[in-house]
Amino acid sequence: MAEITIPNDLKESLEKIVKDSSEFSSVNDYATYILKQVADKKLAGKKQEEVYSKEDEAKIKERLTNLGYLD
Amino acid sequence: MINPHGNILINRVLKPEDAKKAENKAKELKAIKLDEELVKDVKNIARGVYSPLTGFMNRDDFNSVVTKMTLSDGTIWPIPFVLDVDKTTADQLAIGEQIALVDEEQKPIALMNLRDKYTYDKNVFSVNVFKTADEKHPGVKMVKEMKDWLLGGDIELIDNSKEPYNQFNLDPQETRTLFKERGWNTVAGFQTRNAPHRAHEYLQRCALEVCDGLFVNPVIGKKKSGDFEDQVILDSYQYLIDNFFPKNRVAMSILPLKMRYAGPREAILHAIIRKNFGCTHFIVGRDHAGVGKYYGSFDAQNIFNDIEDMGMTILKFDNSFFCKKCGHLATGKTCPHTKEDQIGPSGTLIRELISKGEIVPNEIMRPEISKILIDADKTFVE
Repeated sequence: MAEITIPNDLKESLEKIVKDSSEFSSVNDYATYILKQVADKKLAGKKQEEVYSKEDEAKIKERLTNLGYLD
Repeated sequence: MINPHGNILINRVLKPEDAKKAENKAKELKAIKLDEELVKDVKNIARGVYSPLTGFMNRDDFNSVVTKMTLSDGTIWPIPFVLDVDKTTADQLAIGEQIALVDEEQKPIALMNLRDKYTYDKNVFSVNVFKTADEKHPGVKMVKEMKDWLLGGDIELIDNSKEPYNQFNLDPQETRTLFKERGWNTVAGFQTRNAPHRAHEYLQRCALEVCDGLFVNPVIGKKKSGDFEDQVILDSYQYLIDNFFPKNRVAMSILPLKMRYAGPREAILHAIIRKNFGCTHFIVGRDHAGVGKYYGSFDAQNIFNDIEDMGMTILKFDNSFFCKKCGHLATGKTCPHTKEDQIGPSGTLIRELISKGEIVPNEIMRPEISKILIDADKTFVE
């Protein structure tokens, strides 16, 4: 596990949110959830390249052209 | 391009050389037979249509979806996707085992890595997902008829065939590529199970005024008597797109999918699926995916206010009609006149006239579309 420093006013904001939440028991839990969402979104493009290759993309364009979707 | 739901587009389709090996392996494994609708679900899972699902749900995901409308990791997900078996079959399977999923002709469709097997409460399932336990509701009836055990685990698709309608059957990666190649940054998804009438067209044109592209995505699946046959839906839409929309502003591809008639929850599922196809917007009309009087007319629109932002814009429309006083198509939001002046698209009237070989009034349906429906070998499911 690693530690991250955040400004006090941000910590207070997060504490207010956690206080009213039934989903998160601590600022740590909530901050981890938020950061994971952001990281997943940013990394999605890189992960996607592992699932569909450039070769796949070429085959897809060929199929779309053969079916008349692309000129 | 909008990210897929869960941020990664799933691809569990085996490459041809691996599919061949898997097909041979399947002959040595215990096999579970799937009906036509479950085969569709397996193919949709593998092709990323149901991203981020990678297989049939385990117990944690199933329970979370039923009670909280999220997967166990918190991702919004409204309807369980499950593989039901009887107790005898469940007892014969071990967690960690690989099993073959075959179709009704015993042809291997996929391999499944069994991670979980569990029982479930059918009443809790029905009441939460369909908002009713009334067995007259088709979804509740479906649950009642399901077997008592559920299997969970990842799948790998062996049979990636797309017949019938191969030419209209695009995967999410294909539609995303298409939208990108056409330069569409915003795309409105339109779901339908019917041939196009004027009221449909009005919503589509409204959406196209605010989006770069329109994705017409007819649901192809189990039909009831009186429904339009799939072929006439495709033929009539192809005619409409080719003759009445600007070139390269509209694309059509089918969605092989069973309707659950879960109203609001199903509207969310349909939006998620179109998000996976690359749509940034999704059109939701009155009583979307509803049946009978189980849901309020706008429940399927209002539910989107109650969930976390999915990153899509939901285009909410009231019923549209031709207004004789306005002289064009409108909805209650844009027309001040009374029902006496409004000609709505009656499905009953359309079926009656087409069945008799009569052209539907122009205010309801384009005459060219009427003609396509009348001239078809088979227009309606018997």
